Amino acid sequence: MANFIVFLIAGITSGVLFALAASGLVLTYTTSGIFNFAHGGVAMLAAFVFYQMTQVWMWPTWIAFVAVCFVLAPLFQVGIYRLIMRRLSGTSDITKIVVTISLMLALFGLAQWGWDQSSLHSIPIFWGAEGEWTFHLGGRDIYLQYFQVFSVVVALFLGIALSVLFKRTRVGIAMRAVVDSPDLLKLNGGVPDKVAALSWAIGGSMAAVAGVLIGQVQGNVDATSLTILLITCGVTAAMIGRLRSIPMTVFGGVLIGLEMSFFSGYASLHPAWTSWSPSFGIAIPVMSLFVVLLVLPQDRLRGASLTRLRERFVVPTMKTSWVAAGSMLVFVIALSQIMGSADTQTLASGMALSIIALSLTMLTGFAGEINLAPISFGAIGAIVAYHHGLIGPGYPDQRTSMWGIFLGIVATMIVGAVVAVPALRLRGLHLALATMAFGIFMSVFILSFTGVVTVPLLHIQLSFVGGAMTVPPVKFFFWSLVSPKAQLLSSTVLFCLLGVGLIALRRSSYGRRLVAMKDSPAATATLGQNLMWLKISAFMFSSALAAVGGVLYCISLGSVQTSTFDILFSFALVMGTVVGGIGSVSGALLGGVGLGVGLTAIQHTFFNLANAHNDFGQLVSWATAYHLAALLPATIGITLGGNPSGSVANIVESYKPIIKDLPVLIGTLFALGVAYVLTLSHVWGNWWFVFCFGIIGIISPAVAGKRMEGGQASPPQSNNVQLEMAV
Amino acid sequence: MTNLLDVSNVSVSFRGTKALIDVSFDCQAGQITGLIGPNGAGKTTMFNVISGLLKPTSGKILLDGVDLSKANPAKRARQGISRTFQRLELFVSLTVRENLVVAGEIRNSLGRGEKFDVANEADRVMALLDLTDVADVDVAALPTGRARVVEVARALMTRPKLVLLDEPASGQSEEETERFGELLRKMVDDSGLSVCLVEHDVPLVMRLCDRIHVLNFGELLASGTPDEIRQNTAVADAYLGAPEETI
Repeated sequence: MANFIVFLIAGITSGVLFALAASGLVLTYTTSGIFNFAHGGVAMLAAFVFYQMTQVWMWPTWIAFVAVCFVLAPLFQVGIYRLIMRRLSGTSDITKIVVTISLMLALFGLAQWGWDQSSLHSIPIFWGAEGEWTFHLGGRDIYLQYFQVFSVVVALFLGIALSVLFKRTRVGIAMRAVVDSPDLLKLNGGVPDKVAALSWAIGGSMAAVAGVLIGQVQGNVDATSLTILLITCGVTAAMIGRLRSIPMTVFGGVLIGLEMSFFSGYASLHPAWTSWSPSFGIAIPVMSLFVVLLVLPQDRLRGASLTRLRERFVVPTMKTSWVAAGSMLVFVIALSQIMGSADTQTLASGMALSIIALSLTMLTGFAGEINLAPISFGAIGAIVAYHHGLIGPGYPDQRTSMWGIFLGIVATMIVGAVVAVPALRLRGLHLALATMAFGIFMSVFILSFTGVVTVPLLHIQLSFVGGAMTVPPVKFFFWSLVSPKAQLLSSTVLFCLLGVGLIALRRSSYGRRLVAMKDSPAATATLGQNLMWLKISAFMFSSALAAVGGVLYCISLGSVQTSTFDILFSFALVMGTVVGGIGSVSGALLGGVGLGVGLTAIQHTFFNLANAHNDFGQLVSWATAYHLAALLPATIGITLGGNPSGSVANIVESYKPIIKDLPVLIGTLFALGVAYVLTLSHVWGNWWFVFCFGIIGIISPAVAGKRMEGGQASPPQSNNVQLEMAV
Repeated sequence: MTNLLDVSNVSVSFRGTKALIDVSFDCQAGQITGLIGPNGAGKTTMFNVISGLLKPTSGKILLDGVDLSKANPAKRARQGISRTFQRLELFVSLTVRENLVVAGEIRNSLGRGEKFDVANEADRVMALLDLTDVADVDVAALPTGRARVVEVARALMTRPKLVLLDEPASGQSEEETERFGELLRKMVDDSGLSVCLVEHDVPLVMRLCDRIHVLNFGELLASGTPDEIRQNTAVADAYLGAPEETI
């Protein structure tokens, strides 16, 4: 009984705080139609700023609390609404999701930059540990902290205030009107923009209060665990409130708090369960999220074409695809001649990530089904191949067999189908959240076991025995693809073949059906198409792609841990692919290589420079550049609202004048050739080649553009259909 | 003559609001049947029920005597029901031709009736509906009036027994409407197609339809030939609240 009361008190305290975070999320969603994944990030950052003020600058606690929660957080939220969210109207679900995910990753990056995550950042609770009432029950002391009562009171007060605001006040009614019809609200004298901004400000305050108080409950503020905790619990509670009812959201938050407290509390009391109990903490809300999404009343079939989306993707011809694939292969072969083995390895891992990204092109780009956990599918393929497909005497002569990869693909396809079945009911945001729940569940629960876990009946092992695994190189018939160069070239060839294959698929009857389903499930169904099989098959095909990429990715990395398959990494890959262009194969290439190579290379360089020159002063240093580089992809992701079709289309557009302008084309190729030969003959280093490549890449299109304006070259036809090069 | 479509005792309520109340009517083969009524009368709701996108609270749908009440939209399409949408549901990532081709491909894969050459059929239907000039244009780039015609063309690609047209003339000019009406009549007379038409353009409905059913506030107000409907005072009162001549 005493334990029960202790767990109850702890559960209610964290529950009301989750409810608070979730209510803020519901508020901004209701008024802007944007589900803000960064909401948890704002809460997390607020906790760090509060830490900075109270523990480093030694501000009085209450002043810091007011400053963070009621000044900085609302201002910040209004800022992001004005600068980012407002521009998202007319974009698809995936674009909206990716922009807010990018923002979350940026906030995460800021926290890592500002506060060294390897050290502890503890915030003492209000009134300290001594501020408590003591009760006696069953021969035991039970403590009720002032802080816990304070949390409940604050959360209840804000929850009730919000409910009253929504239902009883003019501003609240206007807030609800904004999302239904901003134009109508405008006609009736409302100012939609101001109303939405106000709701974002209030949402920011609620996130910050929740973040600061949860940070105190946790004792230590840690960016990763706090963000994931706030996202999963906040999102689950918000979904229980079906993104519109504040009272139900509060109920959901408390329910999650209690579930977590009781499960991990009682589990920790049993010796046999102690190793599981930390996983329960996060697995419980994740499983609840999945269940809640499934029992939510089904959305009626509806088309995406109610408003015309701004995204456009042009399908290249097969001829263009083969030419592009061939050129890419030649380019990578040339590059592999001048790269060192470490760089080659990095590029190989980027290429493998691109293959995982192809699974997104197929599933999200073609079929319109969102998957936020591509890396988790890749993980299944890799783990099954590792456990069941190794041949040879042992390290370092062991190899991954083709049979192993095949098994990995089959297992991942089965999981894909299993995930697809509940997904049949879900679309858009709901599907995104369900796949996110799947990804978090995989990384915090399944992959966290270091013992032996075997799937019953199938006898498939799904675990990291010992906490890490080393996937050996592939044995392809008689050849072992051991060297980094062999890995890079085989991954590149595979990417080219799969990419061309995907384009062929998109041009086929099956591909047209996928696109039809994306554009209007209702119309596709009323034409006679069975949507269930179409969806399941799309999930299975894309899972197969992710499995192939996953195996190759693990091989290129050598040794992998659970953290390799972190959900945040999946988010980053989704972001990169959408930024590149989710509807095109080249978008997948840009996303995968950008994440695997671009970021690693830039950070590596700045990191080395920072280590070599750490006396540059605090403000402007290589370390600053290193952190800025880490924020770069997220920053690009955030700007997606202005260019929802991705950047490949823009890049191709800017390079088109070169192809039409023979002198510039010859000059460009010549300059590149000279730079390449100089590098190949070791006259200068690789970084000079990269530098020249960048400079030529910037100057040539500019020159060609200028010449075209001056009428010296024949102008290209300004027709969107010409975008065929965006393979 | 047998009924092609039998709608019997269909009721739909959304959270207490009754959208359709015990509505029964039928459509005859080889005819154009009109379904009219003021805004909010339940016409589109009825189409959603017939095509299977919306489950009625009660009632039955029979096509050619086969009970389709429990069937999903795809199964109903296989039985020969096809439709267009009041709020356009085109495949906006595809061109006009591809919109038609994908419909034909789906139809061919269903095993209903003889397979046909999809490309030729698409050309034929586009020529029939004056869409040849925009065949390779993205449907997203079309004005609403022509986009509606594309929806009609797409519906015809499945060679349906019954096609449900939801306000096909809205967004079209008077001349276009005129031509469209003539074409529809010709198709019905020549190829034995059956049409159920929801349309706000009352003169068009009166001119085109063989029989008309009038819905008002979810209830069936009247059924009959255009002449009978024209003389029905209840319809005149409830529908337009306007003098008879305007109907």
